[in-house]
Amino acid sequence: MIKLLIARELLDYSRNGQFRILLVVVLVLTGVASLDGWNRAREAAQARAAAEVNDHHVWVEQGANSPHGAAHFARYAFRPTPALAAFEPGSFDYAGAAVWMEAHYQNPATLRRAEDTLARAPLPALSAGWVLRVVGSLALLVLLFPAVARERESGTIRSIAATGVTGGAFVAGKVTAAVATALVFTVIAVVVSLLPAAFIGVDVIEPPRVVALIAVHAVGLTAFGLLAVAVSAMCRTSGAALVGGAALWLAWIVGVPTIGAQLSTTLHPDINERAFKSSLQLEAQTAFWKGEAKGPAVAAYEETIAKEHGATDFDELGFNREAMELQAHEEFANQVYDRLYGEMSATYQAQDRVLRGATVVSPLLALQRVSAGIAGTDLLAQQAFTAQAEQHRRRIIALLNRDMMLNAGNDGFAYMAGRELWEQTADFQGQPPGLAEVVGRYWVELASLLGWLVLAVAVAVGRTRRAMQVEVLT
Amino acid sequence: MIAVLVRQECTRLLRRSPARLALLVLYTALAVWAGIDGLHWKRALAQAQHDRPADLRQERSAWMADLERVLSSETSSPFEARPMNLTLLAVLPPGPLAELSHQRESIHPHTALISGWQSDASLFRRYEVEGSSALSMRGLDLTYLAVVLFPLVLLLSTFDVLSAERHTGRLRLLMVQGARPALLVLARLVTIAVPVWLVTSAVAVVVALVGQEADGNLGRLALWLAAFTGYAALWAAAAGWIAARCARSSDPAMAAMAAVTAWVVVVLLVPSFAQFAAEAVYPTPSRVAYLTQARQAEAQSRRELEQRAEVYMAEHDIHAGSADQAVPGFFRASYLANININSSTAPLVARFEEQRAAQAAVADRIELAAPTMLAYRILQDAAGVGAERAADYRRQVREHLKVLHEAVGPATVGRSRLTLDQARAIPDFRFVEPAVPSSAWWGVAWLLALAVGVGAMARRAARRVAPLDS
Repeated sequence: MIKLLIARELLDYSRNGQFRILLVVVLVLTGVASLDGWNRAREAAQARAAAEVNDHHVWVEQGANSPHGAAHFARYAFRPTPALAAFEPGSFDYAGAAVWMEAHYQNPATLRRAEDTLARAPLPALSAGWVLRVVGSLALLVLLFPAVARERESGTIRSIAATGVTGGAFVAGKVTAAVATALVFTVIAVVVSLLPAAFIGVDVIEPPRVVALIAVHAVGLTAFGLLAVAVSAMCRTSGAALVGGAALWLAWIVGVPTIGAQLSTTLHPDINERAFKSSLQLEAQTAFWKGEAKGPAVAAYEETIAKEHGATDFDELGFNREAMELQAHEEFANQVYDRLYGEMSATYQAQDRVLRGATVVSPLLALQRVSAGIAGTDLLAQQAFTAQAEQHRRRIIALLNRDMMLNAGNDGFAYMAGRELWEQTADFQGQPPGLAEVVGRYWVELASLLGWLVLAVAVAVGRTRRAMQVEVLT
Repeated sequence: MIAVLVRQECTRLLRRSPARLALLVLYTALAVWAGIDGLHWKRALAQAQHDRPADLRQERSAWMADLERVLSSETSSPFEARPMNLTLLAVLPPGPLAELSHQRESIHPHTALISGWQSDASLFRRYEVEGSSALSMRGLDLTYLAVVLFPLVLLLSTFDVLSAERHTGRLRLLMVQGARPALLVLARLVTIAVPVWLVTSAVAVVVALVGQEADGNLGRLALWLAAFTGYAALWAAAAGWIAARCARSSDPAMAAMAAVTAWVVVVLLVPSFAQFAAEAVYPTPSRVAYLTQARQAEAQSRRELEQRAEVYMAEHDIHAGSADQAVPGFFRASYLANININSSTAPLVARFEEQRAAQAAVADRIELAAPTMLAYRILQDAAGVGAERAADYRRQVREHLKVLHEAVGPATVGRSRLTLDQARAIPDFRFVEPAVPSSAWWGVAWLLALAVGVGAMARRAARRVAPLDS
């Protein structure tokens, strides 16, 4: 019976001019957005690849140089462009693409692409994920708002009920055709977005992520479709069903994200750049070089080095003292950075928690956030990148300081190292958070999606069954 | 008659339309919230700019005092009053009415330190400390409310004004009593659009007056209000047209669908699509590519330092004999690296500017058919915010850096100092606020013309509305 209902729905769609127009509009928008994402991801990945090659080249070809001079010129860590960024850019363009890994300073990521966009549209740029969530869900609403209400208005629900069709089968028949169509679009959009990664090899495609992305869209869009049917079953007329569904859609697409974003920065304001920079300067630099922190920090590091080399005193080792002090400063400053950047990260997390809370009332916002998490274009991926870059910076600077400490002797900053040392510093290789970590991070959003799905099934089936019973009894 | 209808609509709104009333209350609350947030943002930025930057090692006045002292004494440290250390603070103040449109402003740099130590590539290397999640999701400001939410509230409140009356049979009764469909639509629009327009405008005026620190912004405020009024009038006309066009449908859902579709297409899709088209056709070089070029140039300069110093000295007629050998070489090494970075990246910057101009030209053309884009641009121009202003600031700072580089270069490479006259001749940086383009007022006129055109269509459509199906 369900098959018959689905076949009937598909037949109705094929005869419906409105559906054909919708199909073409969504297809064109999805295609264009996917190609744009394709193009942007390709450009970003190529620029990064070229930058990495160049960074490696200028580093190893810098010639004879003081290790500390080289540490000031330093290296850059470039953020990887995930293959799925083409489908779901998330907050990728609003976060820095590179970290300067210089001596003395932990720098935040810089080079945000959003700064260079035209900014003539009041809302974010087109992406395949956005089109599917915004236009796709609207299309589902248009297709499904009359599902029960119109059958009731025309009286056909009575004859359908008389054939013995259950409420569940009726809802399944109505929803399957529309949601299946939306999912076909999702698959097309994901596949088109992944073309550069597949053919040009700019980044690795992880099949579990692709499957997960399609799966969450399947859950999100099915939940929305079922909710449209539930609203249709709850309303006496198809007009009321459309108005109710449209109100929900607007609240979820515009209202909740806007108010959530505003609330997140009102409750947890962004850190002031100047104040942050001042704190770093005063606590990590001035406190050591001009304050009283230097003595204890140097003494502690001296002891560590002496112990490491089996000596009782640093001076008996004959190592360069200036380099030892430079590294002592790094050890001291790193603790300050861990604290201050930790506070900054806590602010981001707090903002993110507000947005996470908002997903409880908006399955479409939940879908957007999970989608960005799986695509690796979210805050989690950005924080992983900056944390890994900082660990890499510490390794590089420690290596350079150690070389100077062991080999500079009395030459101090006049000591020159060469290519052999530069080649010892590895290139930065970012590792995005694994899928399991993403799932762990977004459990609230996933629970929200599943909760909405269960609620939608229960309400849609329950109210449809009731509507059928009422029609049969009257 | 219209007064009676308006009174009826008001009564209905207050007593029988809790959803509509709730929508208006919510909109008002959001407007007030957006206004207060804008004021807080502007004050916080102004306060931050008032404080001395942590990385500004020495004020210009202190540097000048050092120079005077050094030039008048026989002994001095080679590190004192070096030309490279002369630092000018370049501040981009918050836009004259930034409190009305601040949400995208945090992303742009608002300060830079201009000195010989900087190249074009490092001028705006600021700490990007804003959370990317919150930044990517647009928060509230009055411009967003005016451009995105105002039409939505209007459409949701008016789409069924005729179809619902017709559906219930009340339309016939009203027409018998002398009411015309156009008047019914007008009454509903007056009841909804006027309060929403008033709330937005009043909050904008109050916020602008409270946030105003200097005179001369009234013209901008007038433009902001005029653009919003034109845009509001256009949407009011469009709402009337949709209500009249869909009145013949016995199903108010069709009117709702048409209203939502119009909003989605005009507010969401057309501007996003236009921006995408402009950026896709004229892509700008990426920041990563720019950095790559700058790093290459810096590395090259370091390798060829001596040759570059000789060439520079020959070009500027500097005699090596006059150099103070006690001055460390890193001053001139950094200077030479920076000017090489600037000249190496200049073609990329020029290409960027060219592509941005082309993108803007495409957007300007599309704007005529995209009222949301047009209104959004004018409201931003009036408030003195946006990507164009930020780009203008960057351009001015780069020009100023060039002036400073030319002034301190010979003394830096020649390991000498500036004279007092040379130092005094270097101008301080002052951001020249771009004037509001005259096209903005033409844009307002275009919005009003569109509103009149759509209003005429709405009137014609309303005249055709019959109380019953024929």
